[in-house]
Amino acid sequence: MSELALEWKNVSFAARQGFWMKLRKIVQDIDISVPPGTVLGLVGPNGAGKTTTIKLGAGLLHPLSGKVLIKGISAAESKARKSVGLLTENQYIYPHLRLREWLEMLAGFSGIKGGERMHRVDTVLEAFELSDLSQQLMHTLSKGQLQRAGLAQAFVHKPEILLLDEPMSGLDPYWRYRVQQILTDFKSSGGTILFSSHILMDVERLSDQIVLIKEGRVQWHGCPKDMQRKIKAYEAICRSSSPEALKNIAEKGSVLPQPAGEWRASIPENKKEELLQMVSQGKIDLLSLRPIQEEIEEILFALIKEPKQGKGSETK
Amino acid sequence: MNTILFSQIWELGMNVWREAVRDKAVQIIVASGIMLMFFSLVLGRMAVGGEERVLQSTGFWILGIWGLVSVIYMGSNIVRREIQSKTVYMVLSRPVNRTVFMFGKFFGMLMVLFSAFCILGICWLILLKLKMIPVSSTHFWALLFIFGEWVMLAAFSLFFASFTTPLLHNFFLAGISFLGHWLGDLRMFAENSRELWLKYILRTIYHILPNLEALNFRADALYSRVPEPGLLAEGCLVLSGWTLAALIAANIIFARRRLL
Repeated sequence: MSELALEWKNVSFAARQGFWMKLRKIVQDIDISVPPGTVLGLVGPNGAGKTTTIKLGAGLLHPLSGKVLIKGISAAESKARKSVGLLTENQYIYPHLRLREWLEMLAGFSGIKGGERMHRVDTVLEAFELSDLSQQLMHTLSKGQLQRAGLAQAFVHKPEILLLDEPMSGLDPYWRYRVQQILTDFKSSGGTILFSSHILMDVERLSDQIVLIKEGRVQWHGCPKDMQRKIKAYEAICRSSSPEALKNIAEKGSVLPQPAGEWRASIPENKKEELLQMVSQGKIDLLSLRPIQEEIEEILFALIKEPKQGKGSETK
Repeated sequence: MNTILFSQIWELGMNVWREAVRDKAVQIIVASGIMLMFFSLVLGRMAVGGEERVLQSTGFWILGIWGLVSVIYMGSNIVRREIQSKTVYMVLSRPVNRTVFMFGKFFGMLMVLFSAFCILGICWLILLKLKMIPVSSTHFWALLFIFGEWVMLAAFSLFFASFTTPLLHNFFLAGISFLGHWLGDLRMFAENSRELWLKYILRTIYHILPNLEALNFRADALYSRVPEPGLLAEGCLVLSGWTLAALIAANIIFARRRLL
């Protein structure tokens, strides 16, 4: 397949707000391409335009300018949305419906009928461990259960593309892990995912590409490996009868005793040479030396503070 | 593709149906209609020598008004609630276009209205049977066109719901229902008016509102007169024309509506 699974071509969107109904731009000149079989993580501060970008991708909003394409077809066309599964940030439910009825209805909208529909609903109920709750009215479900129900409806019609707004929100650690597994399996089977998240560890773990959005614009776009991580310090495990020499070069208060006469210390980057000299002089025995790199959060927070940088690497 | 459209309309309609049958207010509306129908037995006894006519007139009146009440209750929030609670996102993120969404809602309203009409209508017919009042084909024409009026009001309800608030929706719908039955009087008043501007205003109202009296065959039923085919055809034309016009207008407005 050569065509892109999802494409935002120079897309802008604005909404009228306030008493005077002034037009406020929410996203501007967004250019994002998602090839089939890849995962793109959308990150950015609150109000940056992540949810709007996802709604544009699902054809729920029509861009003011530019184009949003799903497999080469405009997202506004209903046939384009047949291959898309959407998870919204909050689960918008009909309180009078039972979980099973809700899933059956949504599967019906995608053209799945009869026995196939029953089978698909049973499959997703089982996959998200919701079978016992299937006859419960939706307004009685907890936040985590609703989030799983939301994921179940996104999968019920066997979509090729998933648009997920905060998929891990409200999930306990077990379900965060399970959802990561389910998404990884979906990707392995050739599926395409675009998801937004504030949990940057999840974004780094799952994504092939990351897009950072700030104030409605793409601030940075690249692969996780493109993020140049500075070495902040080194973690050294040493054996020494006296840790005084180690304390002189280590960060203040970072020298901690370990079992069997070992010491763990955080050594600033500029003191690495001094540490190695001490080792060569026989003052300490160095058992291990591990660089402590910047976390993804620190890199992205730094990027948010910077003026627009552009692409980290070409991914097209 | 057509089978998908029908299945989508069916699913949307079933959703409206499920919501209505689980809604206590809808149950109360239907139950109160049944109770009032049986109360008409008391009213009939109070009338001197006209029990049969009182029972029939009250039954027709209840069927007419309860239709308006049901449509107002269901229609005022049928689109607004979907947009406010954002459930419309779950529907429109699927391969459902906005026209199908509106037709599904209309179909759902028709299913609920038809069920309510059947319950009330059957109760009324049982009542007539108990009082040994003969039921003829003229009664069925009257009942058929009363339901036709419900259908037309449902289409207008969807039209108003696509752009106004519930309060305005209710005001407009009640206005159409009452003025629609008074259009004949309105025209007569216009012809007799000496003020030119009032004449024009009343004539304009006469021409832009649906003439619901064209759907009224209740008097024929009361006096066991077979309705003239020409009048029945005019009723069908008024009913289908206005229903279609209201549905098309509702679709055009909703298709252009921006969601956030």
